[in-house]
Parts: sequence; C-alpha cells; structure tokens
Amino acid sequence: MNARIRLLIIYLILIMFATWFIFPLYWAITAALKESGEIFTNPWGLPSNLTLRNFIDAWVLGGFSTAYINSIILTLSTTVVVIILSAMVAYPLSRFTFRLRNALFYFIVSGYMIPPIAILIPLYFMLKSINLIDTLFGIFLAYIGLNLPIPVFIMRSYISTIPRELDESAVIDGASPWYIFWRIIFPLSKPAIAAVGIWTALMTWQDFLYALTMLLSPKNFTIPRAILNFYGVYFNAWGYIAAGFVFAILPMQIVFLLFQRQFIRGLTAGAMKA
Amino acid sequence: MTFVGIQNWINIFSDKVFWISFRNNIYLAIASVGFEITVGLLLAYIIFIEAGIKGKTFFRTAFFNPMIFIPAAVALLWKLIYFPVGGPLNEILSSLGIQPVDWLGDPSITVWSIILVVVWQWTGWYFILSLTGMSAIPTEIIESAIIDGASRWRLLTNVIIPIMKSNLFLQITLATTGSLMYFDLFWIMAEAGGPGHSAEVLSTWLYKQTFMWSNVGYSQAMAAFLTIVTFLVGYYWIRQVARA
Repeated sequence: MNARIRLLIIYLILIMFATWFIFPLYWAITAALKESGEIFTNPWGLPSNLTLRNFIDAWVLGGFSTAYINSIILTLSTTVVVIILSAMVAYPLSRFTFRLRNALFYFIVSGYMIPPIAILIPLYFMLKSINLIDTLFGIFLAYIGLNLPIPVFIMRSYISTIPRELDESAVIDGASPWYIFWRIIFPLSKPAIAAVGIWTALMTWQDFLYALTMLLSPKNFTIPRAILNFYGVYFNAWGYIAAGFVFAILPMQIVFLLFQRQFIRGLTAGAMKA
Repeated sequence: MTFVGIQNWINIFSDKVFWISFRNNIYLAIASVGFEITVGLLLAYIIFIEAGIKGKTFFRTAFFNPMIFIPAAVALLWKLIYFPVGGPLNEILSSLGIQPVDWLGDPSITVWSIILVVVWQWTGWYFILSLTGMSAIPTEIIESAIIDGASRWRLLTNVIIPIMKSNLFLQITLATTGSLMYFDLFWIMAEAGGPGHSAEVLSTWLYKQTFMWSNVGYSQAMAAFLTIVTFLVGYYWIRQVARA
C-alpha cells in the first residue's frame, strides 16, 4: 500500500474516534451558549447569538455553589485522610513481621472486589442507626472505607521499594517506628502519595451511588446529586441542563488539563499496582 | 426476624427480572472486553508505532478525556443527545435520511444505547493502560523485530501482545468486575429500569428492592450473589495476571 494513503487512513481512524469522544462535549458547550429556541433549530452549529443566560440561571437554580463547596470539601478531606491512613496501614504491612500479615493484607485489598452496592446496604442501616444519614460526615466515613483497598496496595508496593537500610540505621540511632514513619517513610513516598491522591480524589468526585442514597437534603448535595435533582425539575430546559453539565465537569477538567502528565501517571500507576 | 432457609434464594432465581439484569451485566462485560479493551489496544498501538503521526498529544487527551467526567452528568447529557424528537443524534440521522430511533424507549435497544455511552466514557481508560504497557517495552525488542522484517500486524500479535499479557489480563480483571458492579448510567438513563425492565442491571434491581420496596431479605441474597460472582470472576482473572 502506498505510504501516503496508509497515513491518510490512519489519520481518518484517529480523527473519527477523537470526534466521537469530543462531540458530546462540543454539543454541551454550544447548546449552553444558545438561546432556548436555537438548540432545536440549529442543533450542531455554533450559536448565532451568544448568551450567558443559561449559565447564570443554571448556577443559581441548580444550587451549584453549595454543590461545589460540598464536593470540594468531601473530596479533599477524603483524599487527605485516605493518603495518611493507607500509608499508616501499608507501613507495618511492608516492614514489620507478625502473624497473619499477608492474610491481613489480602483481606484489606480484596475489599476492592466487593461491589459498592453490597457494602452500601448494611452501611446505610448502620449509619442510619447513629443518625449519620444525610450528613457530610457520614458519607465522608463511608468514602474512606470504600476507597481504602487500592491505596493500601499502592502504598505497600511503593514502601517495599524503599531501601530497608534507611530505617535500620534510624533504628540504631534509637528512632521509634512512629518517628521513622513520619520522618523517613512518608516523605520518601511522594510518587505513591500522588497516585493515591489522584485515584481517591477521582473516585470520590465521581461517586453517585453513595451520594444518591445518603445525601437527602439539597444543602448536603454533591455535584452528581445536585445535577440529577436539577435535571428532575428542568429537564425541558436543555440550555440549563447543558450548562449544568459544563459546571459539573469543569473543576476536574481544569485540574486534568493543568496536571495531565501527573494525572495519567497517577491513575495508571494505581491500576497497574492493583 | 425469622429464619427462612433458602426461600430468598428461590425467590431471586425464579425472578425473571433478576435474569434480565444478570444478562445485561454480561452484555456490558462482553462490550467492555470486546470493544473498550480491543479498540483501546488498537488505538494505543497506532499512537505507539506510527512515527509520522502529528498531534499525538491531542489524540491522547481527546481519547482519555471522557473518563474524568462525572458519570451522572454524562448520563444526563446523553439523555438529551438520545432524545427521540429533536435530539441532536436523531437530527443528524434524519439529515442523512435515516429514520429516527427511540434510543432509550425501544426495549430491544435501550440496554445497548446505554452500553454505548459506558463504552464512550471508558475506552480511553483502556487505551491509556495499553499505551503505558507498550511504552514500557524495551525499544531493542521492537527494533530487532522490525529489522527481522516483521509487519506491523505481526509485531503486534507476535511480540507486543505476548509481552503485555499481564497488563491485558489486568485490564480484563478491571473491565469484568467493573461491569458486574456498574450502576450509575443504568440508574439515570433507564428510569424505572427501561421499558419492561429491559435495561435493568443487578445493581439497579438490587437498589430498588432495598430502598424502594424494602425487600431486604431478597436484596441481601442478591447482594451475596453479586459479591460471590464478582469475587470469583476477579479471582480468576487476577490469577491469570499473576501467571502471565
């Protein structure tokens, strides 16, 4: 086959897939910028009259300021706690020798194979009995447990690669395990911390199932929950829904475009270790 | 509480919707392995092997991007795109002279319309996993195969795939267990499980049994079933990863 035709076909394939992946986003952005009638008369073209009406209305009617704050608080707090806890669990699992060490490790990590919905049902009734349903603190506790298995795996794999001589020489100098963990192991685990952080943040940010079940009043809604509620009321106003979609994806999109390399490396590291 | 023996299990196995749901999970798993992983691998190979391609960074970003979207938001966006009257997808089809399709209302295709969106969101993830795996292969191996006169296709099937075996088994582990647990898009896009429960999956059916109808005995038996199946499938493929 002629080399130029070959290259042309390859470009066509790549562009076809890229179009498929990007077009819905293009449609959402342009629809959000159109006046209400134009979405139907001109479904795929650029807007003829730009309007920010949809964005302004959707932000208020969809309760996005509350949802943004809740999602950001929950994602950040869950991520920080999961990073610290997973490192603290992984450290003895990779360094100390004790009975049932491996069994304990596999027990924790196999939590990943339990469907979130199977955990949700008993957890829901448990949290309900201590009045933590419809509170951000309750779902925060659930997210920590739900997200811990993969981070423990990533952390343990990484800590096992840190040379033992480092902590052994500290032991000779009389350092306690607590000191060694915070002063040596944790600071040296930066790549694993980044991977765990990105993994946990994305999982928490995207969660719908737990938010649907545990968050009942709009003041507690996270973004996925808020946008579903918004759709339930304004499903006929496509400009609003399109603007709501843009709001829903915007924060993570910005983070992704700014830190693309670290983002992809962190996630693939997470999966490869899993 | 009364002990009911295996009555809950008899109930789920004699429930028609349970089997429809399970079948839909299997459809999703087949689509995930057959499309997401396969297409992801081929796209990754093109980006990896074709030195003359410009804009690789753009393609990589474009393919990967849907995966960072919140699935609930994706579901709502696609509900508009699929809208039967005046929806953008049917508008395109009608401008090409194709009859409009009731994507989310026709029981024979609803589940596939939803699976198409799942595939849309996650193919980029498997693309990136394959690309990462390929990039870790030492260049000497690739170069010596090319010097030996291997065609690009033979290079993929005889050299790269065998080396990437554990990576690919890992992708299959993620795709099959993920497909069994999947909830978000089916819950939102198929309100009430789609026409005649045709687009129910185990998670959505389980959710309704628990939180709408309080059939906790039934739903706990189903949760146990789902957990066991996911565990067995995950365990099987993880063993393959370790062996490869």
